Amino acid sequence: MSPFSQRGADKLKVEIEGLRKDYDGGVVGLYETDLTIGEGIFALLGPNGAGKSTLMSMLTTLLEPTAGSARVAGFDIRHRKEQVRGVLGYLPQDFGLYPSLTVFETLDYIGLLYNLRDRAERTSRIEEAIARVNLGEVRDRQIAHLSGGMHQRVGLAQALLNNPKLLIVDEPTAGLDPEERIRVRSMLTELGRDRVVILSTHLIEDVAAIADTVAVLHRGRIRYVGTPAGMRDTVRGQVWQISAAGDRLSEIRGRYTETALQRDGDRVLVRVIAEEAPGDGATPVEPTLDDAYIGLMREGGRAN
Amino acid sequence: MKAALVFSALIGWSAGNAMGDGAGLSALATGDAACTYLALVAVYWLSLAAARDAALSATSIVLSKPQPTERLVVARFLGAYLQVLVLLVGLFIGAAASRWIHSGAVAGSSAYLAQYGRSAVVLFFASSAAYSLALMAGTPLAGALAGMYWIVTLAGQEYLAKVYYPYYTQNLAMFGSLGVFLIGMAARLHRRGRRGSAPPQVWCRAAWPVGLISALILARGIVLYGHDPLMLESPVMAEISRQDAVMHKRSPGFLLPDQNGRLTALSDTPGKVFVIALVDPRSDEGVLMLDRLRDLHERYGGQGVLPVAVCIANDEGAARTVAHGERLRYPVLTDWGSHHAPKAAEASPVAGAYRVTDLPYVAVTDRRRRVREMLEGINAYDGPQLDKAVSARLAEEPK
Repeated sequence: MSPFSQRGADKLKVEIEGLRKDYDGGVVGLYETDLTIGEGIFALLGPNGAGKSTLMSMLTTLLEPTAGSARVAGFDIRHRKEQVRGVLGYLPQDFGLYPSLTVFETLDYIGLLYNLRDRAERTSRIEEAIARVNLGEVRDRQIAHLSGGMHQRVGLAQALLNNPKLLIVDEPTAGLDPEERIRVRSMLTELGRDRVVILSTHLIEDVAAIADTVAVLHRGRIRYVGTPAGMRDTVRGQVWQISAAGDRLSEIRGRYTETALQRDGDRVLVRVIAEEAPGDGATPVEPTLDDAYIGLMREGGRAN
Repeated sequence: MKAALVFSALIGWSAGNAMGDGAGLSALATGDAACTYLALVAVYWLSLAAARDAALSATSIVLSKPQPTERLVVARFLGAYLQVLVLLVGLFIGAAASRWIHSGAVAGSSAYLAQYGRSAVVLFFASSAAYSLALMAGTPLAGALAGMYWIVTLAGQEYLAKVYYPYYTQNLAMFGSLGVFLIGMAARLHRRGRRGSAPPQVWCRAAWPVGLISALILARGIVLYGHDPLMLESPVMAEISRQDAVMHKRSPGFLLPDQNGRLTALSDTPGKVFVIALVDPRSDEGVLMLDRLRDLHERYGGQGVLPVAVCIANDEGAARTVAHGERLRYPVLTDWGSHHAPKAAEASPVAGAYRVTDLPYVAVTDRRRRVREMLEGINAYDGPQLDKAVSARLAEEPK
């Protein structure tokens, strides 16, 4: 069995109770948050500044919470930091590596940071990780000479070296080309089969493609927690499509929350969220995650 | 790193080509170059090492791993310091090669080892100061304070007491302890919140108080048992300086350690014709003088002529290095009362007692230790003049 397989191992749980983070200057990064994260891929979705990275940094013990508590595999993130770090693998959003080291040397160094002192075991883990993220061809290439996608895959490989029960990845597909993005999503899907993966993203396609559960954050508060299908249900019956042009188009766009626009000859097909049909010619349509996301953001904006 | 190694070797090449039959002055000059130039390189290098993770945005990855913070701090320091030691090897190889190419031999090369050890401790202090400051302040610019300290000590030799100088051999233990204290502090305080409820490891708790207490005890010893008009004068040295070298009168006495650490006085060997030389072991003239004394010792030692060199140098390890490097068999004494002063006569109580105005200086005594000849500057190491002075004494008192 691959050392990365968690099958049969105890499933890890992340329990968050009233977790809050205040920054200097009275800025609240995250309001009191309660969450329980179990197996599968858990996506944190929200715009930049929503509090996703703040939450992840606290879970990875890099940031001290202002209030509340969280336990990872039963270890308190405030007091048992070393044990928490021992069970997780973390891929930060913007990370750098040592440019003069090769891929193998980088992972060797990270392996030492994970206390993998036995050279044979460390090498075996590195080779497995390299194979898993498909970097075999560049294992002896310097980090400085890798493409953005390869760099991201090295980041993923380093997070896997300790065979983590919990994998936390912050915006793993940001800035990648479509092909590389699909590749990273496939890897995360595979990894999510036998461990807990917490994925932060502002891309709805990521959620649609791989998430089992999603939490939508907006301005430091959780607006929704549930399945992606359930997220779509939050706006079911409220999504309409209208074909309009000229003043009518301007009026609709000004009055309702628009979720999509599509050119249709001289006219424009507009998708909007509204409690009731926004006029003649409006037809109800099946909601998408984009509709639900924009709907949740609108509600969040109103609540604030 | 390769460029820095070549740079070090070139500095070594330049410093290593020094006067003398042996490698003494070459080793001393190389050690001094290491303590001056390489120390500044170390300050720069370690300041950057402290900030490297932040500059590369690798902090999140490194700190999310289970390795204890203190181990990360010390491991990063040791890694960078080891690179500095490699540069130091390059420097000394450059010096030895230069000496070998220019002189055809590297006799007395053990002096290089002694100076390597001295330089390694000095660089340890420079490295630890720069690294700790940069790490705790979160900016490599803070490490530059260590560099500024270096520049101030180099520029302020007439105003600062010897105890402030990391590169004097007598201060090495103190500054080494101070280095341990600084690294211990950095390991203890840097990101201490990252530990959670876990206590720091035992060595981390012990390093800084042990380093600090050791440094304070050693500093106290240096000040109390040393001699420095800018800090505290020694009564023994004050007594020595009250003597006066007058022709046909008994020469001033002293009790100073020789190259093997043995306390030596002129009265230990009565009935000798003494050739007492006061030299600056860092100068070409000083080393030429020491070589002249060796010739005299070889030629006239059997007839009761005993050269005694007194090294006027603030670094109390200089005499030992030069004596071993030049393979000198006669007593080469360390004047531990030497201190920063613009004039030679003011730089040491022994020099004051002999009314020295220029180094090197030689006083030749008769067998009853009365001063019979005094030579200074270029005359002091002029072979025929020295020969004449010694021959005259032997002719007067053959035994």
